[in-house]
Amino acid sequence: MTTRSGVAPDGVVVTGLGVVCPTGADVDGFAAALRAGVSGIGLRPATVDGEAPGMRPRLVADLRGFDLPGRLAGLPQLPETTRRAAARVAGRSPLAIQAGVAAAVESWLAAGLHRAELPGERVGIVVAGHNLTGALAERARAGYQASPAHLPGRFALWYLDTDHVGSISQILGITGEGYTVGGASASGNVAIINAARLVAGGELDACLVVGALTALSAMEAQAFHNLGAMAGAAGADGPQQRCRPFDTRREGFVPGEAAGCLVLESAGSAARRGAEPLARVAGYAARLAGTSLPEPDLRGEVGVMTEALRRAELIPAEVDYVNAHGTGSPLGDDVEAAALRAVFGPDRPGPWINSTKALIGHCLCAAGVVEAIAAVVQMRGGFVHANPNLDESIAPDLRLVGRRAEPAEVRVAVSNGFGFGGFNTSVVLTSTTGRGRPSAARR
Amino acid sequence: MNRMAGDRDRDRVTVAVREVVGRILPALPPGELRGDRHLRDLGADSVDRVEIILAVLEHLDLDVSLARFSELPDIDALVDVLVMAGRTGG
Repeated sequence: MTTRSGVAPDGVVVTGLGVVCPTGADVDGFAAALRAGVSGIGLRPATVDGEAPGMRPRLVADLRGFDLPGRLAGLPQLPETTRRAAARVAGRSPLAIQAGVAAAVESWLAAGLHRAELPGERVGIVVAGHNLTGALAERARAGYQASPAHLPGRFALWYLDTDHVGSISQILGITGEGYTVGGASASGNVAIINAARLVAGGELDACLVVGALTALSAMEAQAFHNLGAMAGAAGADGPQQRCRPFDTRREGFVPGEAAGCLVLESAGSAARRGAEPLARVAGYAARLAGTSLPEPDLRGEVGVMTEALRRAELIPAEVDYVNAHGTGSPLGDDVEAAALRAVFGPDRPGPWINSTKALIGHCLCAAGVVEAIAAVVQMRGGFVHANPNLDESIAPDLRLVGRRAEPAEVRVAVSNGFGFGGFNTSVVLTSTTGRGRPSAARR
Repeated sequence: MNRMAGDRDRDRVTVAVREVVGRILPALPPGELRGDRHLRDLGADSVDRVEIILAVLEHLDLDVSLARFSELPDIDALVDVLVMAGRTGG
């Protein structure tokens, strides 16, 4: 008999998606942008103080034009009481909280949770992210130094990463279990895994998984740049050509500002409510490399992909698509390519592979959630998005999508997330439509 | 202090309170902000109330311990404390 460790007998499904990202104000906008290969990467104005402007990282995919009241006004099915609560609770909150609220509200409506079929205490919230308030602290410092006594007391709450949990739970009436989880750039997958466990273990019927927008301060961005991880300021190519996962001319990651939200729900609860399952969380795995350093870990990357597939009762040959961690960093992409080669073997063509970071940058703590959303969107849309800057692949033997999107039937998707400090994670998502559970015939 | 100067102080404080409350509670209709109401009745939560008082103090360039604002029955009483603080230099 097969054990299905980590997954409830009736399984965990995705019943809602929400996103706010540089190329899309909602899931439909993001889907269209992925299909068209729209890049959200630009150049921050050169307003930095100090010396060496040529050594300052200025590339960013930012959330220009995001406006919470406007975003909520565009949701006619949103109950008026919820709209008022959002304005009241988050109307003056920092951008990261407002973006998280917008994504959470979109996913909550998409899942039909506004119909209040689940008691508040059966719904929970897990927020992916830590160290989310660097930019807020940087902006507030001038006011604090001018007059410490007048620093708004509200900042004591805004500085807490858990303000996402408090704000979203208040707006949506969520009173089950909730907390933040951290795993550096793997935080998104760590949160998906934790939420899937809460649902699978019966603690909750549904759980919002919020990928928190990570707004880096100039100092944090400079530190990533000085470490050699972040793409720089100087360069002959335009900003949209500078994030180049798996390309020989890659130079590091470009930070992206996005928030995403997945509603995970037990298949039984979704069936009782008549909520359409958009995808199934079929397996996952997380392993530490046992290091404090930023170096990628080949053994750990191979291990989590292999273990996540084993738990999903799938074999590598059944995987149609991999949403790679693929930051565009020189060593990171080399090691991930080697890990993909080790897992998927020499059989060709192998799964399609792309990196959403080429289009919207590295959304850091939110990346895993936003990329899981991208995977579901592609699964349901029947395509795999472009790697627009892949001119010369570092791994011609891997089936990396080229500069245009390809039509593809994606029934099994693997989404990788790796983080500084040895975090290795992989999540397997499977389709709930079409030909049913992919491996059913082979088991 | 003559009566007219006292009224001017009171007006200045009232304008500051209105301006700050309007900023921190943007959904509040201006007519709701009456002297016999408590900030709590206007929808200000516990953190809003601290923020309003600190912002008014900053606006009026006053330095007053927050403890002096803890048991006030209404906005008139809040204004009284602020007018008094302005006269005594905080």
